[in-house]
Amino acid sequence: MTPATVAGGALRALEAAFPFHFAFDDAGVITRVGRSLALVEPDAVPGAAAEDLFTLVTPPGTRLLPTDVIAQERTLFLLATRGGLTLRGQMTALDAGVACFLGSPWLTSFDQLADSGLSLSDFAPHDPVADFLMLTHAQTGSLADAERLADRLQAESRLLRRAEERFRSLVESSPVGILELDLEGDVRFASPSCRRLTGLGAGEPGALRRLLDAVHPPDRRLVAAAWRGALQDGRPYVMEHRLTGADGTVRDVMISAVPLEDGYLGTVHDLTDIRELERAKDELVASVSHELRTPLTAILAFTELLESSALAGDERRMLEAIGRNAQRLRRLVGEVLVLARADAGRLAAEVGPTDLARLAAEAVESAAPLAAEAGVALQVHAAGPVVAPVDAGQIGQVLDNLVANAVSFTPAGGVVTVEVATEGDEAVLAVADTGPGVAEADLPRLFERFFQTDAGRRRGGGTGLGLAIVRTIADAHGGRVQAARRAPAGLRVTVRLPRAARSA
Amino acid sequence: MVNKAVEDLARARGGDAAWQAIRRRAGLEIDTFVGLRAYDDEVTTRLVAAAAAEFGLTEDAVLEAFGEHWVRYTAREGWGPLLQAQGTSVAEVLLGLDAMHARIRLAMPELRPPSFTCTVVAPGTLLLDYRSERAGLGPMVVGLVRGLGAVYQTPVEIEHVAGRADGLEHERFKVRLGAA
Repeated sequence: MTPATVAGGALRALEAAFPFHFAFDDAGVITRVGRSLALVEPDAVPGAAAEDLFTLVTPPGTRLLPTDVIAQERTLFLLATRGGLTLRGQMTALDAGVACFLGSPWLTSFDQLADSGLSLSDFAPHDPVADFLMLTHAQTGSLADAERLADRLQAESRLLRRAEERFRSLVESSPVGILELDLEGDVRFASPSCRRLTGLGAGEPGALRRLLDAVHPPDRRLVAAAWRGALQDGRPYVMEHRLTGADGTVRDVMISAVPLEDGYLGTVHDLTDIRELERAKDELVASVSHELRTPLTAILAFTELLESSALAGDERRMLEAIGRNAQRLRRLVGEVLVLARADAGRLAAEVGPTDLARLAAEAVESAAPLAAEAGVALQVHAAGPVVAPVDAGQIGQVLDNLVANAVSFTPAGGVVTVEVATEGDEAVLAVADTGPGVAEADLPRLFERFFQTDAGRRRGGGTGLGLAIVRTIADAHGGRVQAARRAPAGLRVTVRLPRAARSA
Repeated sequence: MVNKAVEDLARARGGDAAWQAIRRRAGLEIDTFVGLRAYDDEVTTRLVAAAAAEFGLTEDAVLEAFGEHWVRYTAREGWGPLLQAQGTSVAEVLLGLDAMHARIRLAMPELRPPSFTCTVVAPGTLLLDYRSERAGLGPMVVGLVRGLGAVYQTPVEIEHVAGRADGLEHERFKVRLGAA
């Protein structure tokens, strides 16, 4: 290997490792420049005076002459270009009487890099400036991410705070008591309504025990069993019972609770006023019904007596009108009473094995005079006795209502058919007529209270309660009711009742 | 990077609802990605599969779309300045990718970036050898290079010429660059 080759190799290495280098002689004249230096100082060419192009920022008091700089080989040199760029690096002796600057532009951001018209390909791969830019960029990026996340967190906190304020005002103004317990059963939160109803406040220990002690003694055993079951299985709990309130009064309440990860959340509804209203309503309905029935019975009895007398002409017609209207009023009172009992949960009270075929035959027999008057034929189809556990009086009323309804809507010459059969576990009662039927849109509302079809309103005389009572009684027996249009005309109402006795 | 690209493309295509749908489909609890942080590869696999199902595309097509979207839009905010600092042309950027990834490792030692070895085989034609610990992300390279072409306004053709299926240990692409 010849010395010339070594020198050539060293210069290539200098060029590759320090593309921003420049060498200058003892007159301060540039003798060579790296490939990238021209990008930051285009006039840096061999022959130019170094001090015309570069200002030595540090070390102070030093000139760009080999004699000055070579003695400071361990010093960091900062040079300013005429364009304001700072070059950082060191000085070294390249040859006798020739010094060389080894360094690169000092940049602190990729934006600065772009502004100076440079790219990283102008730097040597090992240049720490490129690494510094990368590191700074990563940190800036992380900071931007952190700021973005912080902004988001702040916005979400704001939303959460607002939601919590809304929730808190709702909870604090709600008549329903809200209670939160920890896993130990200590009160974590109790709303004002809860404090008023139970006497429990936030921070109080042993809430479950205290709540159980406040349960009205006759209800306590059932409540305790239900609590234990819910706690053991970790399932929601809901129960109505009586509770001795903080003021010592006994109140009807419904308490519900759901398990959370770290405790329980419960509600306390005060049902006292509702229950009192229900009791008052029941008493009123029973009392009014009784008070109405007594004079009605007398009116009907005396009307019958008078009908057997020798009245004639207008007087007889007026008497018959009194009788019809009194009968209608008695029916209406009876229907209202049934619905009131159903609302109070006191229907289907006298359930026993009953032959539905017999009830159907009786209903048809009762309706026979009305059917004959209307010119409507009545038929019963039953293969034999169909026994089901029902309240005979109430199912009799179902059949009476359905048959009377069918007869009243069937024109003269038509037929009303009552079918009694069994299908699997069910007894099926069906009453079909050959009347005009019901519009498809009216079918879903047919069993609503006081609902009447257009035909019903035109015909007049109905209360709109007959079919509502049918459904109410069917429901009370665990059955279901359905109405369907018949082809080519008519309506078929089907009542399905369970044939097996229901458990209480 | 892939995760952030999936998130950004999903949001660009269908708003937050699309991103939330993909996130739910992938069963991810993370609801946004931080650009300069390493995530488990499993997250990426699930995200790409979920996005493919959500958009009705193949996973390869999804990765290619992510690659291009990332360079053209996402990178502008995070990695873009770094990418563009590599050079003033597609070729310079491709040639500087390995150095860039080496520097990224300095800043984030936990990152396992891929390697791109670039060889000029003829004027305007490069062979790009892509090596990654993660299998199956090759299609994203196609999208990334096409995205670079769009950013530097240079016509780009990229072709997958060989890869693991041919017995290589990496994927090789031929890139032809037109005049900018």
